[in-house]
Amino acid sequence: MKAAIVLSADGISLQQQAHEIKSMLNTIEAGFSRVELWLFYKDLKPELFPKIDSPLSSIKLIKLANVHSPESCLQLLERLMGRYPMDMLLFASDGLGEELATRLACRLNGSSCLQVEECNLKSGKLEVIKPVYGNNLIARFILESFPCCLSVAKQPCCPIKMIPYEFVNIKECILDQAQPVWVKETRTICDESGTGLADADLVLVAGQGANNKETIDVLQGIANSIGAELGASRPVVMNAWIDMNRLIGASGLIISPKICIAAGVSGTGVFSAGIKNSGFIVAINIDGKAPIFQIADVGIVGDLKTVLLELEKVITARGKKKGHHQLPGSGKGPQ
Amino acid sequence: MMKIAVCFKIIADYDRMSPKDWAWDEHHIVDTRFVRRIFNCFEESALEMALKLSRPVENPSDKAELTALTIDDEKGDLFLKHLIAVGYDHGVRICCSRELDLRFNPMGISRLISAYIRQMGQTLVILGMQGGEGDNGQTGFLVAEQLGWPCVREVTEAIRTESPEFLKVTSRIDGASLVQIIKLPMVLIIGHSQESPYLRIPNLKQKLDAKKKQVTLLSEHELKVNNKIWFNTDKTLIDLQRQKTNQSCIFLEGKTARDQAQQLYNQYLKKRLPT
Amino acid sequence: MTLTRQAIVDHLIDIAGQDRVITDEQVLKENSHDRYKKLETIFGIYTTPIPAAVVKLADTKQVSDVLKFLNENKVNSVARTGGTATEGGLETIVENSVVLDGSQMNQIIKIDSTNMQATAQCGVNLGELEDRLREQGFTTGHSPQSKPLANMGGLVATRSIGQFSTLYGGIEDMVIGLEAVFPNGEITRIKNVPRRACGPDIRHVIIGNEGALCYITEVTVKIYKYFPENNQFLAWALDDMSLGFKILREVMVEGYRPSVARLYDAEDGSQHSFDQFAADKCVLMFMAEGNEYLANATARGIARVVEKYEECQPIDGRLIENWFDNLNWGPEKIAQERELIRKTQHMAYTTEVSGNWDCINTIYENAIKRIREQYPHMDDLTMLGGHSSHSYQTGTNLYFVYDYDVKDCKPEEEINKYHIALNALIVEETLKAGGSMVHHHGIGKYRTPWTRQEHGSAYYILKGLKDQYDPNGIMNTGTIYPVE
Repeated sequence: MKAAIVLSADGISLQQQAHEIKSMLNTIEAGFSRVELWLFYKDLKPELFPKIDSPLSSIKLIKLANVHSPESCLQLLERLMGRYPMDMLLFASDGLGEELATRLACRLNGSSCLQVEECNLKSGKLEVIKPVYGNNLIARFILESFPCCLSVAKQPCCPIKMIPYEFVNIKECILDQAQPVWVKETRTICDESGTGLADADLVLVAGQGANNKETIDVLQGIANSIGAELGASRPVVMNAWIDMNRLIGASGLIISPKICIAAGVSGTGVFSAGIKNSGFIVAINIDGKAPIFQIADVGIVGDLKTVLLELEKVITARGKKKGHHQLPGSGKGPQ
Repeated sequence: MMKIAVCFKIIADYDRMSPKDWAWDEHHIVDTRFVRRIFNCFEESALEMALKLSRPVENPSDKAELTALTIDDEKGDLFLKHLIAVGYDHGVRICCSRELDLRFNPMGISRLISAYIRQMGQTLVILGMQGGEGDNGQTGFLVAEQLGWPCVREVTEAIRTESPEFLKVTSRIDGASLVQIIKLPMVLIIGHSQESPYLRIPNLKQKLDAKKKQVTLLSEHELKVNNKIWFNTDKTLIDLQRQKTNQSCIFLEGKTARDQAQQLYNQYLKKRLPT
Repeated sequence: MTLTRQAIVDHLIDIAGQDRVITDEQVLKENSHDRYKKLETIFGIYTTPIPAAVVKLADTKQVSDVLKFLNENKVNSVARTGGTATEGGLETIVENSVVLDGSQMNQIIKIDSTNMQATAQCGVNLGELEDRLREQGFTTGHSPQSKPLANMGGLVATRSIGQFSTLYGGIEDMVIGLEAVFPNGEITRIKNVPRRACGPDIRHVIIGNEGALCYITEVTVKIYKYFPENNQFLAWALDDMSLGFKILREVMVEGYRPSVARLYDAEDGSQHSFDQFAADKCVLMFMAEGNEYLANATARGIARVVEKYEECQPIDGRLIENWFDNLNWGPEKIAQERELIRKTQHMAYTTEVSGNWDCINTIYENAIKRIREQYPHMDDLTMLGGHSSHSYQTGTNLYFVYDYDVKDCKPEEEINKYHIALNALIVEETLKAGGSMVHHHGIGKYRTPWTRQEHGSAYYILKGLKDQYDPNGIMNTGTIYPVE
């Protein structure tokens, strides 16, 4: 079987995306006769490449004239597939990867699947596993026709090393590209500095049980004191109590800290997917029957603010990184 | 007048299902008939965003015609009526033969939607990022492919511009927000929108008026999508499995928060915390 | 001479210690109100005077010492545990009030399975007590929607009632004995006996006093064997409420005691998603509970009563069971409510009343009609309906529910424009028809204009209690007793 990994060299998540593809590739028992890396780039030709386990037969560098145009990428990929037909194409876990996988498979009369966690060759057909029913169940599918275009599942942060790949054939592909005529103007607004959530050892995740923005601010203070990063479930983010880039869950960040403290989170399937890879999960919730306790190692039934304030005292008293939080409105420390 | 179609699919409220409820029959159908139905969160944002888009505050007379479209059995009618009550001009339900399992067949769903759009002439189609039982995440892209239109994914906001042919669309890309002025027609796929998190609520009069209006029913035959090949899927379901859960959560029994925090730290966190 | 705010705080610190006297501004603001003034407080507007201090009481002796001090100096007090009161009962309407917070008196003192009693301090969370009892196969039978948050002291002080009351009764049927402290510092303990005729039942001076007569420090309640495996849900859809009331009455009069007996009109039902299986219909539902024989007989007997009426179409019990399992207010649901309110200025309120069988439908129809015809802001309403959820041999209660968009109105004026105005119409129709203006939420501070009318000549008895036990008027001024 022949496979190509398709990535954007200029993307800030390149190394993480490569790790996710590598993890998925490692679940395939069947061998590949050929694995290629197809990299889109805009200005600077890449010289370092993500180090994946499978031996690479070739690296193809494709210059992109319009960097925010999925249509351009699709047309280029169609032409590449015409010249270098592959049985399987692996795309990143992000929105672009999902769009390219779906639309390319449609154009090539192949099959596609997103959020693929595992994959296997069985009797000449590809079998994939992905979450369904709001991450409450996992489904196994047979993909009916080739080429199979897969966008892989998100994984906890583990960016891959970049290496020069000295002994692999690197080919530049300069192809004509039309400008998308429907876009009149484009502007990008880069995100402010990211959070340390992806690789923090200790993460505190706040849920709707926090009740209001003021409590979230208190929890941010506690997180700072104890050396933790603060994340949040979807309701907290959608209420604008915290920035979107701190969203934890299947449609946000997947994290795997050594310790995750989920406070006031009910624990839906979609959320749990975001923290289930943690080393140790503590759940604090006033409702002893909340689903979060089904994935927690240790549970506390109680008021999250009271418990966390006490935990902060205990941890900071042991000479960890000192800090103090401010109670809302008072400008003073705790009374 | 601009014509907009918003596609949605109601789902069972999975948060109201306990572990024992996740069971299925020999056809891999999970029985969720005893759980209430809700809009999924992305479609709720899509439905609200479309309402705002169709009735611009600056120029209320420049209304767009809004249609809510779903592929469902009669359960969908209540939600269509609700959407009419909050301001949708039309509620349309495509009803398919019961043997068709469209849960994991975004290709089939997109063919039905595209056939409707071609027939009715909307120039803007809005969908949520993912939903339905399958969480396929592909329907919007496939509708764009079927119609041959551009699409923008992970949209957080869409507003009108001075020119009626263009929309200003903000969406998420890797590490940034992308703001584009794009010419209609197009497909918009809605992600997390803090600008439009919830669907508005109708008042009593609006609900009463909506009761008098009819939902439009269409079959796949009327849309001329009745060749079985049209519903071929690119993937076949083999089996379902439960997600693994931890059966043995230890509950800390301290009498006060202080006791619980002490116990948590001394017994579990101290040895695990980074030094 | 009135003490200054600081002097009050200093004295309290002398009695209870610095750690137990809270003067943080945000904490004081949170403790100046309950769930009555939702909109204002969500926007951070606090029109009620902010209390001088919140005292986190340690034990009964401390309650006594603090009350004695307050009484001697005529300082108003407000007793508070879980904070889930809905009628303004916890508002500190007098300047420099002191909030007496019993939530730290949170020990479950004893679970006595021989005498089938559980004893808990006032600050014990009901949800926690229930969980502990269920581990041993018991239940209190008390399940108000506020269970995850409410504490025993407040539940008794407000004469609360739970979702299973049709079988287990209200809190007044559950309480065996009590300990309470009176304003002069007197600590009184009513012992735990099954029944006695040793003068009037003095427990009823304490149960329902809403902090206007004394401070409840400890409660003993009955416990029951818990058989959740035998629960059976039955439900029917029907066209109108008057038939629903008729059937409810018949079920009760025939002697059945389901733990749940509810009747929803179509509007109220729609906010619970009942319209998904009973569009434009009323829903009548029951849950049979108890040991296997009782539960089966109750379910069968109720079905026989209802099935006589052809207008009733059966509903799959699993739908109701799933809905019921998700009914309690968790803090998450309240948080969701708050944020939605902040974003959309959309409010939801209830007024709940009671009446005998012969007037309950009249109350329902007249109140709804009056609102539709006379309430000036009908266009702002997004929901108006009602349901019955606690039935008796002689009658039932009625919850009116109304949701509205707050239009052209400052947050602090919202409650007058909407809830108070609607509440007044409903209360008037109820009293006119011979019902009671409050079934279980308590009078609080906002139905006091009708306290005398509610009690009629019996107000003499109620007033006598206040004159006897709180002559200095330091116990939750403005609650139950109108400020003259």
